[in-house]
Amino acid sequence: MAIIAAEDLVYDYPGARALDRVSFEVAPGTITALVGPNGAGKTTLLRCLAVLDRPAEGRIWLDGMDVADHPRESHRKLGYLSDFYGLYDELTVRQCLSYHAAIHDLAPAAQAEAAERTASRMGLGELMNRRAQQLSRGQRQRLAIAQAIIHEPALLLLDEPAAGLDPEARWSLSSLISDLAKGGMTLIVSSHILSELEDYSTHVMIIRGGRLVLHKPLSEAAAAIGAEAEGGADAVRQTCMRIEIAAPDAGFERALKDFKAATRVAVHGTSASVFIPADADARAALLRHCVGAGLPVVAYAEDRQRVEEIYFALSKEAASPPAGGAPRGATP
Amino acid sequence: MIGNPEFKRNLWIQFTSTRVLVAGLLTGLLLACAFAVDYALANRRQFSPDITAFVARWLAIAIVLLWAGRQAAGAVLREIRGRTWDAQRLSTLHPWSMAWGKLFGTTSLAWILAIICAAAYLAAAVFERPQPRPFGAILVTVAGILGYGLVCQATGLLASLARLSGRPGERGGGTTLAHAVGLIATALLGGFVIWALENEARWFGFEIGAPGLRLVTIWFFALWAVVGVYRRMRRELQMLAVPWAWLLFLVSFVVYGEGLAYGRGQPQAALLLPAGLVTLMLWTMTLIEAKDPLTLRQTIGACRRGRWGHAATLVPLWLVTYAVFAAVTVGGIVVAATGAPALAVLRIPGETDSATVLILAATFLFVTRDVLIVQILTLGRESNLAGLTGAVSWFVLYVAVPAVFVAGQQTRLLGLVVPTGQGGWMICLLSAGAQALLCLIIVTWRWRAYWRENAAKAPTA
Repeated sequence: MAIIAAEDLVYDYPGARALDRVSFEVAPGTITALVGPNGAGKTTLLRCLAVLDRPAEGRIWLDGMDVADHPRESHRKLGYLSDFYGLYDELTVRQCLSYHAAIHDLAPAAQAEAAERTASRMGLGELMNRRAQQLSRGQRQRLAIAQAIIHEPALLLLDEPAAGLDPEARWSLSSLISDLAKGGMTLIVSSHILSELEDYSTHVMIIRGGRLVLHKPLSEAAAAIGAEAEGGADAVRQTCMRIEIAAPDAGFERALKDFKAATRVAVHGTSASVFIPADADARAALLRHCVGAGLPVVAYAEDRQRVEEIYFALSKEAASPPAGGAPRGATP
Repeated sequence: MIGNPEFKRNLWIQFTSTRVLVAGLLTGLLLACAFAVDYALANRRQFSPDITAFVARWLAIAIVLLWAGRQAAGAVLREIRGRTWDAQRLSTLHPWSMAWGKLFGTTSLAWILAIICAAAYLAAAVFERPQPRPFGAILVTVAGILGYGLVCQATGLLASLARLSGRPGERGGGTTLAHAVGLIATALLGGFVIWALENEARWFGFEIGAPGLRLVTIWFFALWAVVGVYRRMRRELQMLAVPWAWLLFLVSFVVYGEGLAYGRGQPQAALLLPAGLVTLMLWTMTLIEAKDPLTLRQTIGACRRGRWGHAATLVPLWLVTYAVFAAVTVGGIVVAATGAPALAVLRIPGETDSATVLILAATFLFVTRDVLIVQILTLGRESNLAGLTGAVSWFVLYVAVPAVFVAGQQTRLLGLVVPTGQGGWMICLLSAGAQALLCLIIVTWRWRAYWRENAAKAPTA
């Protein structure tokens, strides 16, 4: 049975339909990467799943329970961390965790133990008597997640959890998310940093204009995109190559874009991602092109960014005008 | 009590050593100064701590209304600003625990200082010379101060909750506005208790004494305000329910008013009072409740689909109040028009006149116009200011325009804008009806334009 299932969710703002007949089921123990452009409806969807906002239409079932009828019971089974979370800066880590243990109905005798256990799991054991305002950004993030999971929810919803974190804290967050899933928790993680979702996601869910575009296991999604591309008139299966050069070079991007088989180029300082046809000849040709252009290549490898690959492939598809597609907006 | 985690968390935040020290020292210093003045004056007259009593009393009032009132009004808005409100809404805490945990937790330090001041007042008042006040009267004063404090704090918190639409994007501003609502409600209640109940000692004919009636009145509203906070908190925590509590409050409010009008031989007062009281509530709710055309449309949609139960959980309280208002005024018109037999059934002695029917009918039309004006503004470009601009337009209609008529000695024209009944049936009803109809036409037009425009803005990706 699905841990959470949505059925025909509709959510309206004045002037916009944020969710338009969204339906899906999420299996227990999975990590779903929720991706989509800004304003696609990701946050609204997560807030509806967290029973913070009530959809105008549709139903959500959490572990077989209709959340609209049992909002407080649902909160026993789920944890949620919004993209802009807050902490009680005046309180110590111990007080913050004790408070969240208590408001999630943990027995008084179990609250202190739960606070200690969760703090230790999140690497905050040494900071229990420190005030939240004295913590670093990464430590605050860990405290916020600790608050969200102190009651051991079956489902954890994270909205842009890596935003604003330094690389070390991001790596630590990725490890934590994987650990939580190994412990039996189901996670839905929304993020803009697609390459990181790849490290831990088992499923991908793409939402665009309030509609669910794709929801599949990562492996099936990649295969589906590839198969679809191969079946197209002029498209072939794509792969992403990561190139790193020794020092910044003003001609780096130009040189990559000059490579005729490249369908997409993204340069970040001394590294770049280049989408090319997924065959050995194209890979070898790209490397030859880079060396021939005089780029000081120090690393060259196929990127595992399947989430990004899938997302961009679908973006390209979505950019083409739909045949006879109806506008997706609120109806008067 | 300490088992409520929300209350406990507020105690952690309120009772920091700096806060306790500063607040305690300031309060103690003021009381000590007052006592020192009393002591110094004892050289010239018999010792009487009347200055201490005065300072302690007003300090208690200031603390419960100004400090605790602001704390309570901002209790939820501070959470929204600090982005901790969602985490609280995600808890499994019962709405009642959340409501009283916030109401008494955020004001806990203030309450303790106010109780110390009230105790100082009690002690000083007992020793006032040459005429010591009766102990019972002093206790009634103290209970009154505490009751006013609760009214102010609960109404402020209720106003802030009523402003929330429960939709994302709320930034948590408006503490001053919510506090102002609490202070205005307390001032209105205080004014009513002091002036209207000055010589009042009977309720539905029962002799309960003037101090008793005042105290019952203050605590009646204080407890209803606390119930209101609880019910609104339920809504914020996604526990939607049919607004029975609000309906019950309106009915009990009307019954309370009727109890005062009972047995006075003035059927006009008995018939006009319920309409007046519900109008007061309707104006308040129309101004302070979140301006949310979307929820209104969803309510209408649920009604059209025959999902009455769902519609009842969504319906805005101003609309519920308007329905009660319509029932009360129409009922009053029927009773007044039927005359003596209907009054006899209701045990209202005396006879009505046609002016009562006229005033009730004009009240219905004018108040309908008032509500529609705010709806017109809600559907406009500055919908977030609809409450404020609505209040200004009402001020113009009920104060500025009548002032011009009075200044121009044209009092018979007052019936054009105010339900006084002056000017007769033609001036009163034709004018009120035309204004209400015009507003209804504009609301209908704006409603269609609003959704047409918003549909055009909707994403098409």
